[in-house]
Amino acid sequence: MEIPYIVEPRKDTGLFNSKVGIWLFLASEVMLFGGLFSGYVFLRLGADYPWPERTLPVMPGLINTFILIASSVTVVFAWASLKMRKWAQFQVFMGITVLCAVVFMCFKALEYGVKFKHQAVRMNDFTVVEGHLGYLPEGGHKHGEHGGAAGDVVLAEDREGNHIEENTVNFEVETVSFDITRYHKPWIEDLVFAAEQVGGAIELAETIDFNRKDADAASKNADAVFDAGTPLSFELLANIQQVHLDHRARNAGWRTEAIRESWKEVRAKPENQLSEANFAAEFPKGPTLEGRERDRAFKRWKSGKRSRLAEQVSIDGIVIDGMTYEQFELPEWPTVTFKFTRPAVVRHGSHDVITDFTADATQLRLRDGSVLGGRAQASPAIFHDADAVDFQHLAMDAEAKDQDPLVAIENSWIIRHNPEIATMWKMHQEGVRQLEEVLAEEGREPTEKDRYRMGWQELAYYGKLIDEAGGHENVNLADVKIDPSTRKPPHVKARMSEQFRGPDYSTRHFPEISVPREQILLDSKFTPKWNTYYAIYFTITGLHGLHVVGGAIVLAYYLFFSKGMYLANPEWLANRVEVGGLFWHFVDLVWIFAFPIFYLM
Amino acid sequence: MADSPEAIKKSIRTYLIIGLILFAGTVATVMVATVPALDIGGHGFDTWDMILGLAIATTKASLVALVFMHLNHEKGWVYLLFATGLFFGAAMVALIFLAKGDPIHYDNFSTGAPPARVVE
Repeated sequence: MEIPYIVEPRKDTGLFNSKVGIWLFLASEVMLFGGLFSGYVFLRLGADYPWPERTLPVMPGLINTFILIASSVTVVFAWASLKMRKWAQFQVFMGITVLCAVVFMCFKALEYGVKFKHQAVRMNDFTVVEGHLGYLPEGGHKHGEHGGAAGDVVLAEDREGNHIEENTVNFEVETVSFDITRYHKPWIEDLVFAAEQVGGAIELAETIDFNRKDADAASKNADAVFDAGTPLSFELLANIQQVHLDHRARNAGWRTEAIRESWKEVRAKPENQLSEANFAAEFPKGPTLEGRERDRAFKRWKSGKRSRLAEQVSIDGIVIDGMTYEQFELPEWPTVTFKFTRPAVVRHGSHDVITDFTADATQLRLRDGSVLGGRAQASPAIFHDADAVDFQHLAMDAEAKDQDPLVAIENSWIIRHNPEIATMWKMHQEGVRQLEEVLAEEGREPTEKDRYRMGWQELAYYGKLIDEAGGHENVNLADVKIDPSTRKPPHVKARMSEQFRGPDYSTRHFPEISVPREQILLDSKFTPKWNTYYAIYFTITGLHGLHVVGGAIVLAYYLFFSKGMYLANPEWLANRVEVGGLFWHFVDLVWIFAFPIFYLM
Repeated sequence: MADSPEAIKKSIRTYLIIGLILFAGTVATVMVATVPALDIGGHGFDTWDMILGLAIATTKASLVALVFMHLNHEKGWVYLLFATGLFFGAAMVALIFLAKGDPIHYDNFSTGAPPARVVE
């Protein structure tokens, strides 16, 4: 089918049709992103936690802004080249545009990648710790003892041969009960792997006999008996599940039939008839009414009576095929329990565990309904390089309770249990005091973030002073000096690579922090789960990234597959490129707002 | 619209200049947010920084729309479509005003109201 007016403009609109189409599309896009930015504002105004202001590294965002602006210029140059019938020049400019899109996405991947690896925990007292976790050493570790990737430490591996981050809920399992209809297979494989590691096995704890107890020997089904001691396997679980579901369906079928029978009996009783006589008996005023009023009262009485009849329905005493339900009912086995011949430690991500973790827990319920029985093990999240300790949320909570935030921070778990952090906090307060003095001359004061957040540049600065003093015990607070020109708490300057990939853990001194599981309210990487800021950040920048990819594919198509069209009808191609260019400019336009909003505000 | 090759040749210079202004605007956006001497209003991020930052962004976006997307010399239909989109886009943003008075908007820092907690 030939679409009219795609080369020459229509007389009434003065536009070629594809241009009308792209503007209609862009109008819908404006509304889409308008709604999303509205969502951003809503989440920010409604946040019940300190919004992470100016939290993203600016450099990747800045470079990406430059890249998109440059590509906006080159795409319009590419269109102009076509208009001037310069094919080679068009190829160069369009090539640069597509290349810009690729580089943009590479920076985006770098930026996202750092976030997916970066860990955060919010503690019960709202202290937030961020940083990089270590890996579990072979044989696990006791509370407070750190393993780590360095030196000759042998690292433990999971079933798939991956190292295990020190952020798991560890549980020594003796028994495990599965919900037979919804167990999660990989976790069972984990259990079997853990049992094999200690040279043990997992066996059915008790015999499951699906035959009725009163069944005679001849009618018993041997395939419906699963003996205690049978080793755990998927085949076994599938067989149990099959019999269980079969019995459940037959029991349910019987009950449905019995309920029907009971309904029939209930409705057949004379006192339950929806008759005029019963109406008059139960609602003496009714028959005195007249006309519509009476009809309405009768209708209402019938409806009420009908629903009250349901209370009389029961399957008790109903006999079908000569049997009551008690005589018919087939055993169901919704939960099956297995036991470990030797206790073995299994590890789960905290998001897979439903039960609140306590150090003396003897049961752990997982998301698939499984229940582990045994003993909880120490399950700390161990930051080998903690690159931020943030008391903003704690301070906010303290102020809400009319408490002094500084006193609340002094009483926080981390200050009481980690002497190095306690020293760093003292150094930070000294730095903030100096900052207050500098800002007071301008009639200003430090922000909440200045006061209560020790970010990676601050911690690295304090780490450096601790190293120079030969330990945190020897630090002299007089050595803490801010650079007044920066109007920031004392900090180290970020190196170029650190502006993209985050702090250099190999050369900087960051504190080690082991946070017991009992103290953790929420743990997450820097993903949408962490808070609403990251949720909306990933939503908008992710959708924008998809626009970049989509636009780049279309522009690359023009670049590589349009020579024929150019030779046949160059104006047509120029129109196509103009339309593609309009979309590309819109992608740039969205980023022009997204960059300052997410990176600088 | 600059449709003839001669007119397009002339407008190339304009595109280049606009590109440079956009680069400069980006640098300005970052500088007002990071250079202490250019920090207007209170110390750190506040309403004034937001207004300035968004003003620069809006100027940049207007230049892209006017020059690169040729809205400075388009046909009436395009303006109609764009204005409709813009109106509804703005309406989307304005939806947040409907939430004024919504309890989600209380300010934990100033009113002393307890922060929202997850109820299990």
